[in-house]
Amino acid sequence: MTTATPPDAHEIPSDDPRVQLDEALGVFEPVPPYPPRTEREAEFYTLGDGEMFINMGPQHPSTHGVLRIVLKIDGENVVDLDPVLGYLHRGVEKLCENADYHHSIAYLDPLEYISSLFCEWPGVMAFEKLLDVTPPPRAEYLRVLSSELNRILSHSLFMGWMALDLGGLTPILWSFIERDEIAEMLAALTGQRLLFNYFRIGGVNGDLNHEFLSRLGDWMSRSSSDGCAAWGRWTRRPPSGCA
Amino acid sequence: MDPALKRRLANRFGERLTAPVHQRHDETEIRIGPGDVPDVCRTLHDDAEFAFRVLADLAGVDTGTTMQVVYHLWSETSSDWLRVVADGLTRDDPRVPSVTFLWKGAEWMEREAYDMFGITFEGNRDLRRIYMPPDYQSFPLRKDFFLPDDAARSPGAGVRHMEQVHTPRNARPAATIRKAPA
Repeated sequence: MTTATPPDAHEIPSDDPRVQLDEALGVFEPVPPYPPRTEREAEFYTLGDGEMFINMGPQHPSTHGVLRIVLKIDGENVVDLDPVLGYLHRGVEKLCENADYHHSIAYLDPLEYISSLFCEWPGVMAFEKLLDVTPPPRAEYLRVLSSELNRILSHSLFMGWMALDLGGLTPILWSFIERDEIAEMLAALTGQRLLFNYFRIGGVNGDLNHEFLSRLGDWMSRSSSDGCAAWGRWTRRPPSGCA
Repeated sequence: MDPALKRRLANRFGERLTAPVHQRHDETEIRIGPGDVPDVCRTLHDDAEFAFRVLADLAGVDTGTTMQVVYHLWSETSSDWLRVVADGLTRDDPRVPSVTFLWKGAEWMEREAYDMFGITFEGNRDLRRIYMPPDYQSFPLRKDFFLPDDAARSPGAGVRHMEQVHTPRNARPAATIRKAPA
C-alpha cells in the first residue's frame, strides 16, 4: 500500500493511527508478496485488461466455515478464483498420531461439533475393522438411537440457520428449543452436551438410563403435539404481504 | 468384495505388482512402484474392464522408513472399491508422477499430500501448500516432525494415567483398607 505523498504534506509520524490502518489493510493484500511458485499461480495472479482482484473472506458473512476466496473479476463477472484454505486446519491427524485409538475418538468429535456422533462413528468403525471387533447388537442399537437423535438436532439447527440466511429471524429460536431438548437428553446419556465422546471400540460408553428415557418420552409426546409442528408451520408459512 | 477382480487385476498387471493382490473385508489392494503410477492408473481409468472413474481419495503415508501414496478408486461399472498403493518412495526426495491428467480433482489432494508429507507430484501444475501458510518450512505429518508439546516425548512419556501400577507419588502412607482387629 503506497500512497503518493503530496509535496506540501507534512510527514506523518509512525504512531499515527492512519499509518497503522494502512498497514493493517495490507495484511489481506490479494496478491501474494512473493513470486509465483507454480504455473497455475502465475496464471491466476496475472491481470488481464480491465480485470481486478477482490478478496472474499476469510470473514465474509456467507462463509459459515472460514474460507478465503480471491476473486479475479472483470466488471461484475468473476472470471477466475483462487480458494485459500487452512484457516480451520488444526492438525487433528497429527494429534491422533500421538494418541491411542481410544484417545483419538475424542479428537474426532470437534470435527463437526453440531453432529459429533456422526464423526465418531466412522472412526470407531475403522478401528473395529482394523481390530476385527464386532460390537454387540445392543451397542449398535444404542449407536443408531443416539445418532438419529443427533441428526434431528443438527437438522433442526440447519433449518433455523437456513431461515436466518434467508432473512427470517424467528425460526432459529424455535430450532434452538428443539436442539436444546435433545442436547440435554444426550447429555443424560453420554455426559456431554456438545462433544459427546460416546462411542467406544466395540461398543458405547454407557447404557440407557432413566433420565435419558424420561427426557426422550417427554420430548416425543410434547414435540409431536406442538413444538416441531408449530415450528414447521412457521417456516413454511409465506411471508406476510405475499399471502 | 469381488474375487474375480483379484484375478482380473493379477492377469492384467502381472509382474508390475510388487506384492500379491490383497483382499480383506470388502477391500481390494494392489501395490505398485511409483514409476508405474501413470500407466496403471490410466489402464484402471480407461479400460472398460475396470472403469475406475472415481478417485475418492488420495493420501500420503509415511511409514517411518519409506513414503507411500495411496489412491482410493471406485468403479462405476462394477461398483468395486480399489486401493492402489504406490510404495517405495524415498524419504529424502519422495517423487511420484501426478494423476491430474486423469482426475482433475486430484490437484487439491496432491497439494494436500505435498503440504503434509513433502511428496513432489511431477506434472501437477499447482503444487503449492494448501493448509499451511506459504512461508511454512516443514511437512507436519512426516514421522520426523514432532509436536512442540508432544505428550509422547514429555517426561511423562509412556505413562497412561489409568494404567499406573505403582502407588501415586502423593499417596498417603496410611492404608485405605483397614483390617478389623483380631
